[in-house]
Amino acid sequence: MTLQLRNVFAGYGAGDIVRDVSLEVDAGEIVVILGANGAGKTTLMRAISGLITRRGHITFDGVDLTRLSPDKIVRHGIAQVPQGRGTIVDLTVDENLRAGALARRDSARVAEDIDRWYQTYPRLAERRKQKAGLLSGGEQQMLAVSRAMMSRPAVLLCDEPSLGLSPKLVQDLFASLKSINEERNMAMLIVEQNAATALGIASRGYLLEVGSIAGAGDAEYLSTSDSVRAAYLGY
Amino acid sequence: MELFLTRLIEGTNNGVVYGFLALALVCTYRGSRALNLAQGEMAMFCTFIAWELVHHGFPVVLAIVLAAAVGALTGGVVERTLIRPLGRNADYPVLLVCIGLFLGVNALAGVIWGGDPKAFPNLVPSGPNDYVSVFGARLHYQDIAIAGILVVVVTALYAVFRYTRLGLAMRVAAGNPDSALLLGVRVNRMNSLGWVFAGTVGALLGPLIAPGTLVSTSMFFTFIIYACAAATLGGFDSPIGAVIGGVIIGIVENLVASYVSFVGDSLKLAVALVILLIVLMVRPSGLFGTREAARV
Repeated sequence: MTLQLRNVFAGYGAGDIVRDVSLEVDAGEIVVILGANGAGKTTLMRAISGLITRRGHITFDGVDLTRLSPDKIVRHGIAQVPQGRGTIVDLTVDENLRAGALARRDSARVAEDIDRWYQTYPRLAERRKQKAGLLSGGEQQMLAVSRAMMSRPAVLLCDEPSLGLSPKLVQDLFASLKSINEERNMAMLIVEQNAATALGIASRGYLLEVGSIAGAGDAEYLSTSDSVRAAYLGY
Repeated sequence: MELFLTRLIEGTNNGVVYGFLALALVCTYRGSRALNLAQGEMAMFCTFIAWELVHHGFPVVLAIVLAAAVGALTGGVVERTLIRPLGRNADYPVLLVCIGLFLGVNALAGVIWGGDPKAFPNLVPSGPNDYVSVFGARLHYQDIAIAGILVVVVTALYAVFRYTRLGLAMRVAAGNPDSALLLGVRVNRMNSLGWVFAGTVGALLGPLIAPGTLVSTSMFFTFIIYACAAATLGGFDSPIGAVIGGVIIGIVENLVASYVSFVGDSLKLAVALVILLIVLMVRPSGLFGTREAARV
């Protein structure tokens, strides 16, 4: 069970933003992609999810995803927490979670799963009948993660989950991602600017510069490498 | 008192029609963010089809049901062939296509059925004595029937949106198309379905008002303007808001026309436009709309 990208190019029509990217995410591992603003991190995520046109080879479990539409890719077990959380603001928290299960066929067990996420994030349970747009940024991020998890994915893609959150909330969020990863053996591909925190829970990482992979390595190696420290960790 | 009641009832009856058509506008707007100005013309075309069927001996109810089916079909076809290819965020192209559709459908109906208005039978008995008396004011069966059908339609739509998986998917698609795609919703299909709903609603309305307006190529000209005002007042993405907006506009318009002497019948439409203007200035999202829908 591997998500594999080989020589992937993607963009929005006027030239490629992501160029010749190859990477892998294996079962149960957390992989982080570090990159500055404008490096093409979100474009890469949108390419994997099928939101934009892409070339090259994206395969999961041997299935070629490169030409599939987003709704089919979700059904193959790849869920994304989009940048900016993608909250559906005029739906309630409960409805947002149910929306997360729209790609599932076993609707009978959806309520059970929703309850489980309410146990994980009691703040969401307290606000289940509220419009999701009224939640705080941190709560919306919890909602985005649990909504993506409602599709029972095999791989969770997280696009810049720390965006707009306070340092404390970022720590909580990454701790919670780590525990989801451990409890469910959930593979994750996380795109982050907040390199230190992301490397803290990841096993491996890639460096994305101007749309291409500029380096790769174990999380431990990356967090001690001088050039990575200078470019991404800021000390 | 009796006169006031009569005017109130008249206003409500008109308002029900405005709200009915506004409901169709809302169905397309929610998904495609398209204000389908040709909605009335599409409904008119279906009314002619119903007329044709009645003319060939079909029972009225069956004719209306078949016309609604044609409406559903054309709604879907129009979305698929004329609207979807324009892509997302194509507000102006969509508006232009809708105007073109307005002119095209109108001309086509003129070519097929000619310029003479045609009579259409009532759904329910409508003789001079077929009314319910409310403190002396008359409530005609046909008007009750239209209001009743509107209530059924809007309740059904509400139930679909609120309680079914399909409805949830449609709301997700309307609320945040990108997120919807990531959750596995086929957004295009949901938008198409919105047009199907709209086409059905419009095609139901046409034959219901036809006994009064007669079937003609101009039967929806003023109604579409009122419907736009009603949908704006209700909030462009709220089905129930559209209906309530329609009724409010119908009542206010009729009372103002009755009691403000310089308005009279001739300036009635201006009342609706003044309401429209006030809503856009004071509360662009309307009474029941969400704020994003404010950019109409």
